[in-house]
Amino acid sequence: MKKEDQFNQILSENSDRIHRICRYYNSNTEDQKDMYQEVLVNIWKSLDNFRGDSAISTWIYRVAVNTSLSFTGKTYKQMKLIVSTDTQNLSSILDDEGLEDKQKEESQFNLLQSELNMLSVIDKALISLMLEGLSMKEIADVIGINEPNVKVKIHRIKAQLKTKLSGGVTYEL
Amino acid sequence: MNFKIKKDNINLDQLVGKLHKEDNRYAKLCRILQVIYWIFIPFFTFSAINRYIDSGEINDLIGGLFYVVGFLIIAIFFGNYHKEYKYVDYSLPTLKMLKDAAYRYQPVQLKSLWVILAVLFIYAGLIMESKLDAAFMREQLIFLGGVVVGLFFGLIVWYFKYKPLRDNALRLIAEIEGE
Repeated sequence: MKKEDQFNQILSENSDRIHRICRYYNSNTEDQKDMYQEVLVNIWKSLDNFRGDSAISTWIYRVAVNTSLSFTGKTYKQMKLIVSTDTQNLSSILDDEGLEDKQKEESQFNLLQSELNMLSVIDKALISLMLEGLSMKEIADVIGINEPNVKVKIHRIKAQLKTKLSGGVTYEL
Repeated sequence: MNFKIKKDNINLDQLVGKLHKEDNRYAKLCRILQVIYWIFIPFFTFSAINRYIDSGEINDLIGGLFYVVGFLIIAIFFGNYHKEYKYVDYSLPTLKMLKDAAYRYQPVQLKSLWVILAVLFIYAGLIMESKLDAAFMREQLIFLGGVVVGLFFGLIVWYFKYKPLRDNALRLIAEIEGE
């Protein structure tokens, strides 16, 4: 298959996925488009190295996350993780905390949104992959660390978020 | 590569066209390097042999060949260097990509020894072909001065352009590897 055909096929099958990742990091639609384009460029550049050793979705996530770390024109501190209340797996962050009513839920999500924006860029990457519904093993494959390490990190982020959302003042865990 | 497409939606054909263009530009650079390999290097080799035949002095031949070896090493080094920087593999696991970046952006790498070796060959060529007079001293000063100035500007560029990238990569590596 020609490189161009392979590229087009990957895009047709993963366009939504890439768009979602870009939305996680940019609230502004222009920035989302710029990052989306940057991801496409990096997919093209890396396509010759795709050997099929990992699932294409994992490969796409790697390119997208790595692009987010070096996204042109952005400083790392400015990057924000943007989540919406309809994000499918958002509740997984607060899985064991039952929310009493809709109003409280909204307020919690706003607070969650704000706290997520305070996370470091690596923690944002981990959370964005978790929100995408990736397993711990798949996240480990994307980031390049082992599965137990991913579990520890995500557990730490969740604990940190819960402490903050419950009004706790403990910032170091 | 930084393309700006001023449209509401990304025009894929346009993007792919530009990506092809970029690939072609890289292929052109490779062809220029091949010109150096296949035209200049044989030309300088022939020139060194010719000078030796004319003068009968072995120093002219050895000096000329030292130049050729120096140029050859530089041509090979820059070919690999450009390829490595042009095609950063974004599909590597994040930690590996960051470690590669930290290595790429360090000021002195093991492979830099090849450039030092090339400079030494060219320097040796210069010495072999020169006679011990005032012009010789002037040539030495110009050559060594050029090397020092080049090194100085190289370090300035590294400090302002690449060191921040390396520092950031190292910070992210520490964050990923830390508990």
